[in-house]
Amino acid sequence: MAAPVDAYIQLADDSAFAGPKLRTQTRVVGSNTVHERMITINRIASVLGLYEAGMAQQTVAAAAQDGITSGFVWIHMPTAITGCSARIRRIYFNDQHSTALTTPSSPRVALAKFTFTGTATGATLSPDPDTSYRRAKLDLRTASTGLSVTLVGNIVAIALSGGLSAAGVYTPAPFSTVELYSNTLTAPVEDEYIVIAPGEGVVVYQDIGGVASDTRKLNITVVWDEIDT
Amino acid sequence: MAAPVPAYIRLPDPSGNTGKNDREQFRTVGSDIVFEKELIRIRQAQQLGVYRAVSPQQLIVQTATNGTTTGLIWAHVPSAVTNKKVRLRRCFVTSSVVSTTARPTAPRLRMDRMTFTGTASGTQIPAVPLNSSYPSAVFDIRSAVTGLTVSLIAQLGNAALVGSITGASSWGPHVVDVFPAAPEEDEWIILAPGEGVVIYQDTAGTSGDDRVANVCFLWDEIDTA
Repeated sequence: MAAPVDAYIQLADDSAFAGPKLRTQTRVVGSNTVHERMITINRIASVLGLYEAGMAQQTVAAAAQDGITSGFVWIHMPTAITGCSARIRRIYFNDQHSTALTTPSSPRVALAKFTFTGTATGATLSPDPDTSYRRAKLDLRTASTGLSVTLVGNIVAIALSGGLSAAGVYTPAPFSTVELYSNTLTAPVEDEYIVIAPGEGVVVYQDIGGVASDTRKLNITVVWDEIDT
Repeated sequence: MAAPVPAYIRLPDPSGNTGKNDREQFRTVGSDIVFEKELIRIRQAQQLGVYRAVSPQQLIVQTATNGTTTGLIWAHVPSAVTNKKVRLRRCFVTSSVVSTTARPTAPRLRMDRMTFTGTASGTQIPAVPLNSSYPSAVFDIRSAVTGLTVSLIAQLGNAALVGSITGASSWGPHVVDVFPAAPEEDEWIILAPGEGVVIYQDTAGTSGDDRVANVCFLWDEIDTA
């Protein structure tokens, strides 16, 4: 296949036209002034709002959590919701040591998809939406009380920091459990968002335990949109 | 080449038209109201679904593995699959030190493309569709090679693991890509039926090594009929 060649399509003289003006910019290429169209990239879905919620600092658990009755946050779309799904665009966390504790262990934070029955009554986590958006339908709870959770499977899991001696320094680093790029830690393309329909959710939990009386801390933030279905 | 200049192309008056409405948005630039086309980016291939999976925590071993009979994960498209291919978008690993014993070695995880014969019967790692409307994944991820006879093709990428020089101090978690996220569709690794990738440790660890690694996959599946 030969290399592409600069070209243009010459249109009818529009000087007498009275219709809409298609936005362009002109550029001189060779001896020709050519017009380049301006476009915007829209979402496939009809986005109703964008939301972000940060959690209170969590403590790494000594024992593994199961994501069903123990975990950090259950993010779900209540079954009573109609015509709307949520899409997790990003969940990111960073971790840190809070005491001079030796932590030679390998806990990890996992994100799992789940289905559920029931109505959540655990403590809520409120998002901070742009005020032009409607109130979020996605329901974030720091306890699964009221929900009967069935895990579908882990989507991703990330190791935490540790200390082999109660000395030295560490550098906190943000890590995302739904990241695509290693640098931006986001899911930048729409087809990689995790879709949560009514009756579905994701749970952030620690599927491998830490050390006894672990004092390591986790800081978790969730970013999502909601779409008209 | 000179800098671009704001401009427009004037269309005929559409006020008498009765056909379909082609979506645009408009804004005022200078003294002109100009229309900008709204487009939706789609994939060139016919995408059936997007999936993720994560391994159980994998133990780093003292002796290097070979990817054919020893290794960590074999992810493959069974030969019986028809009219579908897998496109691996990303594979990354995080790792941990789990004891205060020094681990002054440099084991790494390596990903190779492979072909195979046979039918896998090792422990399966579940694939999770990112939308419950997607069909079940055909990409078959196993933590044992049982049932497969594997032929390695070539190395696709690798990832270093965490180390402990003295058995003291601390480490931070670190995401290391075995196959980095590629933003463009034509950079993804395409796997046809009979093909796969294997994740294995091609460099030895330390005697009694107890470091662990977590391997995550992101892929889509496309219709090739």
